[in-house]
Amino acid sequence: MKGMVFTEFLGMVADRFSENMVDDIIEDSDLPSGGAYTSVGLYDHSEIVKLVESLSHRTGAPAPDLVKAFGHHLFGRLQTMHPEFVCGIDDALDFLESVDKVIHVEVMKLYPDAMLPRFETSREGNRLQMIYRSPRGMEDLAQGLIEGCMEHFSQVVRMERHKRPDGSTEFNLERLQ
Amino acid sequence: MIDLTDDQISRLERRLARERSAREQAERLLEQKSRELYLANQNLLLVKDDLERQVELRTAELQSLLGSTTNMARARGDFLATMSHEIRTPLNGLLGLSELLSLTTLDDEQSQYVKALRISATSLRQLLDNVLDISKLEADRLELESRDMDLAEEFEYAALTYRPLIEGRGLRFLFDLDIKAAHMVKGDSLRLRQILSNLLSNANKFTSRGEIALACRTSLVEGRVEALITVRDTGIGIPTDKLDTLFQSFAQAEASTSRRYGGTGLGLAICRNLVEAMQGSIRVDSKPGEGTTFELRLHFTPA
Ligand code: HEM
Ligand SMILES: Nc1ncnc2c1ncn2[C@@H]1O[C@H](COP(=O)(O)OP(=O)(O)OP(=O)(O)O)[C@@H](O)[C@H]1O
Ligand SMILES: [Mg+2]
Repeated sequence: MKGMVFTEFLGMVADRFSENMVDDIIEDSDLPSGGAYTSVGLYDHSEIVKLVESLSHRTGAPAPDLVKAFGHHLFGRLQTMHPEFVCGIDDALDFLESVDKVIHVEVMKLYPDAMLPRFETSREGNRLQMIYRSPRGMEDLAQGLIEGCMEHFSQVVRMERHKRPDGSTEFNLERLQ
Repeated sequence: MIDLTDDQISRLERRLARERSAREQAERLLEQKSRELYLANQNLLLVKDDLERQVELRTAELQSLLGSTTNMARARGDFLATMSHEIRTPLNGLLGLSELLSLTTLDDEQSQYVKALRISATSLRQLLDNVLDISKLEADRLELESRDMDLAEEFEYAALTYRPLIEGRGLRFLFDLDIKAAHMVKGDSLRLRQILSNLLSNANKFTSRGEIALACRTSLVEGRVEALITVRDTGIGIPTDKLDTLFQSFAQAEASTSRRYGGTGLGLAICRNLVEAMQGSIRVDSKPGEGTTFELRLHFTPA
């Protein structure tokens, strides 16, 4: 997993809690990298899972809620780092539809070692269905990113999320205004 | 001065160690990426060299292919030239013998046969001469002579030859010679006659009423004699879509032309090649059913 995900996560923890909380969850987690992350490095996916668990343990907040919150935060950061993907688009559903077909495709060219999820989309007017598939199972992060995206475009979108029998996760989105 | 507890100090020390290790890691990564970039660049240079070499190789291959194609065209020309030459020798024998035969006492039927024999042999020799010329011309092996010649005389000669043939068929023949500049120029009179005769014989062949006009006007351009020559007729004309291929060897306007008018489609190809060898130009203008005009522009050095 790209170091940027870790540095962003720890940055969020420092902002919302404290620098000391960052030290504490790193020390609680017993990480192979020792928690010395650089945004351009690559680290094992299990480290982010451990960090989230430690944060949940120390704060008492459920891990899924923390990951979703991180999704909101991450979306804002991604969109400031790569404004080219957002520019020209004024609708959350249009944007989300382009994540798999355009954005992550470009991301792969930029970072050939990135590990990206797959989104299968089908669009019908105000409705968009996204089926999330990834060996990393980060559907909470996906949800947080989707919510961050809706906030960014200031649109009201109703979201339903189901686990599918094959292990993938289905997001059914409907734009209300 | 802020007082820190031991615990706080050791926390800061660990944080510092972590940051330092992250920085070292980032620097190592940077080093590695620069090395990769450098190697990729070296590779690109190699690829570029390789591409350049390949382009050179292909160019050389194409050049040698082009060379062998030119050689093939030459070989074909040589073959045609040799063949026509070889056939011409016995054919001349045949012509000579038929001439001798016609001098002996023959009955009416026999002298008809001998006459037909001579006509056939003469047109066969004409055809061979054309094949010989075009093969030399296309292989760039025809050498033009540069002797003193009288332009006015050449045109008068052509008019003299064709007037009876044309008027004999009930057509009018117009001849307009306007030679103000020098009469005497340097050139190949045999080849000039050949050009005029090809154009006039075509005009005569493809015109059944009206007129045929031969005109030549000369002027002095930058010390050289420029001759503007036109051969105009009121004959069958040439379809517009055939005008482009007219000057290619063995090209005739219609598939039926050879059957109806004879010929093999070499005349104009020879004309064009000769005109080009003289660094001149030839063009045609025609309307089906109305007539055809050939216009040539030739340059000569004054003698
Ligand atoms: C400007 C927009 C975006 C950019 C530049 C971007 C780029 C990235 C990058 C660099 C990663 C990390 C890959 C790795 O760790 O190797 C990633 C992961 C991810 N992205 Fe995006 N992304 C964008 C938008 C989105 C959106 C809107 C969604 C949600 C629909 C999304 C869903 C995910 C998920 C769920 C992951 C985690 C990896 C996984 O689940 O397998 N991304 N993205
Ligand atoms: N004055 C003309 N009027 C109409 N058609 C012409 C005229 N001159 C040439 N053509 C057309 O162009 C063709 C090519 O002319 P060219 O002199 O090359 O061949 P040819 O007269 O058919 O045969 P060859 O000259 O070899 O005996 C002719 O067959 C004829 O269709
Ligand atoms: Mg002819």
